[in-house]
Amino acid sequence: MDEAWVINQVRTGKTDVFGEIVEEYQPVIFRHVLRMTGDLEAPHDLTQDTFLKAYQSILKTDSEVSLKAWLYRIATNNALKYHRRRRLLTFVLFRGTEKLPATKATPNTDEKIAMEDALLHVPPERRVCLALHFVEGLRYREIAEILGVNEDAVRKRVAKGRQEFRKAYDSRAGGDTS
Amino acid sequence: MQDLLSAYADGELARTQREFAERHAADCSPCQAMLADYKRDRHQLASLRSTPIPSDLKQAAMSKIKAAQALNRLFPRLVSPALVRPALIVASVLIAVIAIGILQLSGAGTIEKAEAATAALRSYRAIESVTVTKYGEIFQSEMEIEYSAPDRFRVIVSEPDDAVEFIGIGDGRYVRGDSRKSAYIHVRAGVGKFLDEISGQAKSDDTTGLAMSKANTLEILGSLLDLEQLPDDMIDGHDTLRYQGTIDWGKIGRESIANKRSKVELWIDKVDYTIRQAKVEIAVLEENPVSQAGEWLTISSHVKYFDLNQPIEIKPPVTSSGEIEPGWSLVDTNLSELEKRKHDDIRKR
Repeated sequence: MDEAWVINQVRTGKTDVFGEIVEEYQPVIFRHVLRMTGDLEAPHDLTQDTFLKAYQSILKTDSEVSLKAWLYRIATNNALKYHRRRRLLTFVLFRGTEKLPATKATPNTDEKIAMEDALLHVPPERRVCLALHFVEGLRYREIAEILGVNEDAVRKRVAKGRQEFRKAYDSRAGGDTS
Repeated sequence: MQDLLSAYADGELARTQREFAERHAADCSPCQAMLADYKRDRHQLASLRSTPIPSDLKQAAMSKIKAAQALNRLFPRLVSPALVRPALIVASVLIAVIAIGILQLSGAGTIEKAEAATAALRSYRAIESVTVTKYGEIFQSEMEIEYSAPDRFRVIVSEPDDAVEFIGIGDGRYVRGDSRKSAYIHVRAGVGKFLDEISGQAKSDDTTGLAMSKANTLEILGSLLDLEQLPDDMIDGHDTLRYQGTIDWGKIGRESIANKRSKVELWIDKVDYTIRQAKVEIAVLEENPVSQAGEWLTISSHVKYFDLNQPIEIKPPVTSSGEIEPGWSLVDTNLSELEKRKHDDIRKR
């Protein structure tokens, strides 16, 4: 996809062309929001909102943009905002109901569920670094740009976050007899 | 050193640091073990890349974009959120100051007695209806709740086209029905706190006025401001004292959220000071993602309590041979140690 061409087309009023951007980035943005919220329902809406905001931002500015970083930044802000709202309105207790249905689990998906669950035990500001680096393959520099922090901060968050992830994963694997 | 090794394993070090880390790790067996762990993290987490995504996502996103575009054409930005926000923040600060200033103590004795009666409850049934309004959409659900001390509960959550049932016995948690649908946020809002309280793992920082479970009711009772007594009322044959107030957000750790408002109404039994009925309304200002204007997201909860301290039997959905009954599944409610500690800290305050 030629991003610059697509953005220009969108700016001339061809909304449908924006579908190419959605197509290209929806898997990474959805997964990112899923991981940030630990929720199966909210990411659907939050991903849509991310693309809507990106679309509106494209119309508002004439400057060249790094679409990927921009989308991640909007998605991260959306997810953190959702966290704040949810802390007020809802309670995340029933982790069990937020996971994939147990009946569809295979040994492989069991392990993934365990990993997703362990990731949820890492606080959001570090979880976002782990997810972007290890799952989505972004460099520390790119993550720093998205989060608006320096690379050293990302390095520290990854180092601490992976310890937290490992501890949660190992304790789950050790204590889970189901 | 840990930060350095972590970045080294990720290929994120500049040459001089990389060489230093390499030299050090060559002679240090704990560091070599750590590097092996780090490699395992990389490999494992990368496998999450294959998480499936919903098939209708693109269509839904494009529909939203087109709807927003149509709306913008019809109503070019009439109200900017940037203009709305400062005014609302000023207003909410003023309201908070006034509320603290006019705290009336007339109901304080009754509220304390209601707290004691609620804390001593051994069992009850309750029916609660919750309405959430978000960006013009209304979600409704009804809940039937049964509780029997110390650790048994049953909750049925019904929505217009769906129902979920939860049973908790000690640490065991059973669920029946599809609990993962889009209008589900407020359902969890209703049930979560209730289950938390029963399991002794309440995350008190997630308080809302919803689901007037025992713990939640106590929390609301302990955080009332601007208390006002209204004319006495009769609820299901019980004479009650009626009070109205607002929530002191600071007391429940919510002072950081600026734009919110609340109203609490309580009907307290004149004889034993148990709560017979409660209504809680909470509103939070949110930015509508489509119109980008500030909108009040509202939740209201109406709960009636009955069969207070009567014998209530709650059984696990398990057959005589020990198998879980069809349709039910056992769920994992493990919370991390950190969350438990946080909860204990909050409870001690």
